[in-house]
Amino acid sequence: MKGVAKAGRLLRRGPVLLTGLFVLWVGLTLTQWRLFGQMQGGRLLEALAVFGLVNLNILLLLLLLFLTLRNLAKLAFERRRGVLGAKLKTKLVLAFLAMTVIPTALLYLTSAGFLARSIDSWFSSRVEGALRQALEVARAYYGVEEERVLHYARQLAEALPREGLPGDLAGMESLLLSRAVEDQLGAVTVISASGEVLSVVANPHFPLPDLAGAESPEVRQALAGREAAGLGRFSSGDFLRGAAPIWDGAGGTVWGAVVVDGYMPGRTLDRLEEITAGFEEYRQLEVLKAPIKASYILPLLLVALLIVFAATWFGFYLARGITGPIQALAEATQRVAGGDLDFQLDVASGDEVGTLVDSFNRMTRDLRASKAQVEDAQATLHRANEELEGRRRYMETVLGRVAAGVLSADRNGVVTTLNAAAREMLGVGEEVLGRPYREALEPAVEAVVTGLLRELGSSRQDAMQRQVSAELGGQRRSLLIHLTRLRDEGGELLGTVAVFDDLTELVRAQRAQAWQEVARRIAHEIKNPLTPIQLSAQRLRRRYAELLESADGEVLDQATRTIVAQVDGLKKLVDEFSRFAKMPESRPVPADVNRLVEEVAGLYRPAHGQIQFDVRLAPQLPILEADPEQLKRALVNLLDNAVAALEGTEHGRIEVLTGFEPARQVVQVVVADNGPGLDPQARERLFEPYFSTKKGGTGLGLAIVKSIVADHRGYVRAVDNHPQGTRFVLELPLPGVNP
Amino acid sequence: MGLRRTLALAFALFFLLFAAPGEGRSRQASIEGVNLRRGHQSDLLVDFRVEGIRTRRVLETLDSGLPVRFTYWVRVVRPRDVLRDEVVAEVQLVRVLEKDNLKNRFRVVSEEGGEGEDVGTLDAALQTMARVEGVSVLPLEVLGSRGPLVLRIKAQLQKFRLPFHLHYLFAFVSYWDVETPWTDVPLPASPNLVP
Repeated sequence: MKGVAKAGRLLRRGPVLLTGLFVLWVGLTLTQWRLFGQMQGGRLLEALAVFGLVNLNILLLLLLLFLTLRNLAKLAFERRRGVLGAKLKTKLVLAFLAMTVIPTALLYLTSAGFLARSIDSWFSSRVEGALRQALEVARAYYGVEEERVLHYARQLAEALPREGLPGDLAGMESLLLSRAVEDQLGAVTVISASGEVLSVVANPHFPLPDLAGAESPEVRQALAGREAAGLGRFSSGDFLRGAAPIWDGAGGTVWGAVVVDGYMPGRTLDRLEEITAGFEEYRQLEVLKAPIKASYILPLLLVALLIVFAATWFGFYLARGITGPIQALAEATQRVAGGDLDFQLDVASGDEVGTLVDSFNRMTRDLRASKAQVEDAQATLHRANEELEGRRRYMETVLGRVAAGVLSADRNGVVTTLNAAAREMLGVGEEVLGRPYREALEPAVEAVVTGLLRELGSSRQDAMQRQVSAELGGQRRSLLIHLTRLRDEGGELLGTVAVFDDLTELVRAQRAQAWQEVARRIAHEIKNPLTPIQLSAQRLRRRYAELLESADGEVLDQATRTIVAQVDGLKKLVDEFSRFAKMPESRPVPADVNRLVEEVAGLYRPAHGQIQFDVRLAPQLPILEADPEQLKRALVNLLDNAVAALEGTEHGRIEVLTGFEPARQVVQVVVADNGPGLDPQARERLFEPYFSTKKGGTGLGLAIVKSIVADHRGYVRAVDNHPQGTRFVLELPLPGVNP
Repeated sequence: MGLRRTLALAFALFFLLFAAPGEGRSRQASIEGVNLRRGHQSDLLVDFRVEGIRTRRVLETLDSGLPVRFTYWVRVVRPRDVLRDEVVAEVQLVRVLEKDNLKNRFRVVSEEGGEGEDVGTLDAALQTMARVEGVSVLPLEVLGSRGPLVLRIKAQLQKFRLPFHLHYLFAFVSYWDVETPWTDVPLPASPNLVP
């Protein structure tokens, strides 16, 4: 992403940069041309092309310098910011700089010094002196030769008029020839003022020069009245030509000119010109000394700078090549550390860095594979845990639904499992989990369990059961305790499981069943003779009615009356027995418990004004499947007992409450009084037939209540009311709910 | 530093270094003795001379056998406030001074034609070079018909050229230290000039 952003920036900046550089280049070229080019006198295009090329090089150099400085600045900022790899990059760049700058600088300085000294040595004063002296010699020689030809030309120009010439051409030529031979002249020419060649005399000992004419500059000068000399290179040889005007003796006008050609033997003129040219070239070189120095030193400097910049750039390149992958590796490591194992480095390098990158990519792949395996294992473990959890929940549900109480402890006796039935049975909460069973259980149960464990330990068996009776939660309960030792496959003891079966209800049911059987038999056996007894008594009264009027009959009357009354009492008793023994079958219909409670309570309020009836009904109570008549009867029995319990009590108060437990799907009906309450023995036998704490009570009311509630798959219990009294709790499950 | 700022800085540096006007050169040379005359053909003739051309560089150049070339510009312009001044007439003269080292003599040649003049001494040669006489600039009837006109004269020594095109590479190395500023002389509106 970073690279893409950088490329984008470059693309955006590229046109601006290039345009700026182009404008700079054009401006630089045109300005230089304006300043310098016009003065060169060269052609416009040539000057522009040369300046353009020079400037292009300068700009490229400046661009390289700018890029190098920019990279150095960037490196400095990176170092300051502590960017990873900046220190290594700095070291590498500095190393490259040191390895190149020092030798290059030394080489440059040495070479530049050597060049400067060499060039200076070309222009030593001795060389210049020698050349100047040579030039002086050449000048002197030339001056002598020039003076010679001019001297002879002047002499002849003066002599010719004196000799009466040029009237006598033959005499003039003889004079000229004698002078030419005598004075070692090459040739002598006489030209008239009109430019006509009057006479030419050549020395036979010398080559013949080209004839001087009026077009010769020396002749023109001489005809203008001035002596002139000049060099002449002819096919026959080199000559020094001197011309002097021939003055008209009287008027001071030029009559003509005498031209004297002095022959210069061999390569004299060449040598003179070489000397002059040598001196001039030397002087020109001297003028060019600084540019020549610069022309040698500048490329050297450019090369040196190029080497330095190239080395710097190469240092950056190499540093980037090393630190770039390292930076990428570091970033990748951070990403991998952040959990992105799908990240793969894309650094193309064939060296050790490439190997490192490959190793890193392999490592991330391995990590990804390991992570996938771990995730699979975790998923498997999670599934196993979920399965275990499901099983545990299932076990808990099972254990929760099991009527028997289940308690397990590890080998150290610490409670590990406790189901709801066990909690309810033993009167403990979940806080016992993780505690030793000795602290968690009621002392009575703990003593029994400890005894059983001891017995189990002494025996060679792993299971044992005992039926015990213990006071639990304020009630005496009959429990069947089944102890089993848990062992693993190796036979090692894992712990112990205790299963508590509450046999209290079973015992009570058996007792009730027995009593019902007894009642049925008694009703059957007693009811049969009662009618004959009653009839016999009534017969006796009718037969001996006259006796009843007498004093003796008083006994009879009293006896028969007693017999009939007692038989009626016995009949009532037997009817009660019959009702208890043969409860009518319940006919469940949808029943509103609140309405039933209101109806029954409404019967009692007016009849017992001294007692405060507090009826609190739960709103939106679910409808039960129940036999309304039987439920009313059960409520009547409970209210009868409550009213009886409050007899002689001031501020008697009876609470009738309804409620619903959503968790258990159970409708509760509570009848509570603030009477004297029950002692534990009475409470234990409360629902047994023929057990009554009331005067004249049959002891069947609560037995009938229990029977009715049992027919409705419910449960009734009596507990202490706070602060005083007794509280009867009926729990009736909704249809389809297993209690 | 942003790209634009860098470019702006480079431009500023460039103009400081290279775009300075050419007035920073030697001001030793100057145009003196400007004289206006009427020509035979009712034209405007100008005489003037250049002072201060005897410099070390000129002497060295002559001594090395190279010619010294002077260019003289004589312009008549109509000044304008906003636009560039209109050039009404322009004459360009070139004089070449060279030394014959073997003969130790000087020669002044005018490139417009005419005979060269041999001069024996350097001073005389330089005087001949620096003196310009009778330059015909424009017809006299133009004076006054085009509004106020100004005569502008400038002389400069042609830059000494390095061989092998080195003058391009070392354009900043100046061997040209004789240049006069433009000398302005207002021209009279009426052509009443002394012949």
